[in-house]
Amino acid sequence: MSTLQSLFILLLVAYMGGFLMGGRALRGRGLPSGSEWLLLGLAAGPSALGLVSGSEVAFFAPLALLATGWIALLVGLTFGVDGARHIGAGGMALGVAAGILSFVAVGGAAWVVLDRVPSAGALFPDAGQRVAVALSLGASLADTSRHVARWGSERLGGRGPLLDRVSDVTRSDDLVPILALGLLVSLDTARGMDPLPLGGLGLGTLLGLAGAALLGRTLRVAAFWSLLFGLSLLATGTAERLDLSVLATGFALGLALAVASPLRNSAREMAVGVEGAVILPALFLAGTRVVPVNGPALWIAAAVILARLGAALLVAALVAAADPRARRGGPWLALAFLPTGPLGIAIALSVNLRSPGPVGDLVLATTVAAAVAGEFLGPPALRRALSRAGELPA
Amino acid sequence: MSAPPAKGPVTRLLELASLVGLFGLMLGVDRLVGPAGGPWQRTGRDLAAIGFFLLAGTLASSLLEVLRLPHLTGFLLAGIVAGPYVLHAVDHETVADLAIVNSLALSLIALAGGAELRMEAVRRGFRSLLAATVVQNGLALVVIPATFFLARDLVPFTQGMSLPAVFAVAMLWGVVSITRSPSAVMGILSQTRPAGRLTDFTVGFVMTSDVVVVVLLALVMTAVRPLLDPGATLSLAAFAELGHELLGSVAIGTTLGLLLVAYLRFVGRQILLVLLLLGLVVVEVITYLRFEWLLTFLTAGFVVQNFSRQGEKLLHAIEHTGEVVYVIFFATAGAHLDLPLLGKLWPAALLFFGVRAATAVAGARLSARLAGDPPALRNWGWAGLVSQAGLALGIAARMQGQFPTFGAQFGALAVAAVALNELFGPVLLKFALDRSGESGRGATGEGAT
Repeated sequence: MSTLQSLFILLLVAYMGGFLMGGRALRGRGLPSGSEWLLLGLAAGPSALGLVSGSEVAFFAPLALLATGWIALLVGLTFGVDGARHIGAGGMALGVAAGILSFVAVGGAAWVVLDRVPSAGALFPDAGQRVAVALSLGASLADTSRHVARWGSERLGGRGPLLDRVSDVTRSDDLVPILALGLLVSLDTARGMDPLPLGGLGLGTLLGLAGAALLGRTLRVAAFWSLLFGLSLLATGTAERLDLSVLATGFALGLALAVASPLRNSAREMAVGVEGAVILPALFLAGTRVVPVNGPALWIAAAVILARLGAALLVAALVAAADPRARRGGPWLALAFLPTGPLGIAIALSVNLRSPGPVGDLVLATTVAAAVAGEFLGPPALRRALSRAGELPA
Repeated sequence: MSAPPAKGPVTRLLELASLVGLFGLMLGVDRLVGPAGGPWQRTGRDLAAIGFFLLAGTLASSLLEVLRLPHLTGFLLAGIVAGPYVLHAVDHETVADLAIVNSLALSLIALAGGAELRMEAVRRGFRSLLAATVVQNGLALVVIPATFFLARDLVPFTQGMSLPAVFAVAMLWGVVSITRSPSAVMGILSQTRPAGRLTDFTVGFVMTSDVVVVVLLALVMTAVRPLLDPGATLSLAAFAELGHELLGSVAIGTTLGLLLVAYLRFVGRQILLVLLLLGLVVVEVITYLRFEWLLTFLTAGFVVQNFSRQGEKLLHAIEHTGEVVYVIFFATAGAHLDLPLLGKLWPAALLFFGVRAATAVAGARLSARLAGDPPALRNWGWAGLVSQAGLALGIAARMQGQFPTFGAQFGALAVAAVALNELFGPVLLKFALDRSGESGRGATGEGAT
């Protein structure tokens, strides 16, 4: 397939994304986070059918990078809010705690396997690589897909405290993986650049504040898009040049814009309106880059996915402890916290783009496997939990 | 819907500070990164440059509003200042990488241009258009080659050529000089949202002029080739090929237009992505089939506007997409402008710029008198015909392939002359639209939403 045909397919995926995830409501088709597009990308990619060749995958790398930055910007722009509802300090703390729990559990599991299973450890003999693998896996699987909660409310019509707590967690836990990745990237000097700890957050904040000031108080549609696209591209490109985390930069940009701009609600609404057209192609591109793991790497992948499951159980327990009303969801609630969404994939994709080779391949393949498993198990579990809690319409 | 409030001095200062900050950021990062290489650096540079052009172009155009200069000039200036010939905030390699935006922008421009050609207005102004097409092109093809021939001492590459050969090159220069800039016209229109006879005439003339130029180019090249290449004979095969290309392009454009009508009528969503598909993929397919994609898109836009009720919807969608794409397109064009070359060839470039503009003014007066046009056209009909951009450079590039002995120098002179036309043309058109009272008459008030 030529690059032109690949571009055509990518635009087609974006087109479908615009339909399936456009506007404020997730439509009644497809999986909540669009993980089927990961599988489609995997099937079309060089590892399976080869419809998209290796050189085309490389050709689209800048688009993949851009998509990760845009996803992070959207996450930052909508951080701490669930539609019109603002998540309180308690909800945020719960989300951050859940994120830390998942990060530690997954990263710890990866580290233990690398340290204790000789064949797995032999894949990454360098200590620095092991740290990178463990931290990257921890970061990419620390996030719970916010689309699952949206799916619960928008497609199932759920309403109630249990769904609110799920939403609180899924909309606040993003902070942990983004900070972790930001720190990891800014301290890594493999590209020959000086370390600049959390420089991405600084750059994003600066650009976000400037953007808020320039947006002013009156929304001009054309100026808004020029500004938002321009800031996003500049932030992504500059972060890449300075060897900073594109995700941390994008997140900080979105967050600073949301905090400082009086037009935050319109900005959120407009930006979220185009998320499908970005997220689905990003998932498709991530799928094309997957190189299936085999041999001893499977131990790492399996351990990490199990750790993610264990973390979901702990998060559910934490939520139930924080809000007794959430207990009405029963044991199904645990599985509802299993799906990792587009942000997790974006983190894995970012690692894959940054560290092509064994580290990037393992992180992306494992995250994709966990995302697909979570996507098939999580939503039905959430439906049952909501049904048990009486939060679904009759 | 009310118009957005005017920007105060604080906002202007903030914009100026942000613009300076942007330049500082780009240059600072360059200094900080130094010679660090690798594909990731190139990717980062390209993405940052697009973002920079978008932001810097938007800010510069907003600041130039104070001087009543068109936004397009702001986009161009941002590109020139940031480009490889001034501050070098964006380098040659990056500017070349951004060429991918060109086909997207030009396809939108052609679609919008076709959609702006309303049958009613064309019919009403047909006499003016016909008179102007004949007079403007006829006059230019006499006056400009004559000037070139007489001023051949200012053109270094004609030294040592025989007089018939100089005449042939002068005729080719004449064809380059009758090209106009649909992109500049559409850029100004999207800012000023005008309506009236001058607007209809300018759009009609500029959009159809591409077809006229393509035909005349084939004609002149066939006629003068024996003067430049003694071994060549007069061959009419080029015309058969040209006919095939033009008719095929119109046929494909009609089909594309009807498909667009059906899409807009029955689906009507995600138009942005459809436009991207057209600009990035369909353009390549049409080029591969060896048809003229600008004419194809022009026809498609015309069909949508005049054979359905979807024209306004299409224009609206293009306007939204274009406002972002045009900034990058013109800023990149600005960065492309070879200032050192202009510095070297400025006497010849300035002469040809002046004569071309004067010919346009004289042609407009004459054709307006012949057609009995209203004062707006008589006084300002020439203003939209000064801008030049892509097509002129495209023809110049084609000359390099066709006539290797002088093509490169010919191209350099074209770049220098186009630079002046590109800088001053949009300013003149905006001034004309403002003075004739047509600016803002076509506004929908959407700009404030």
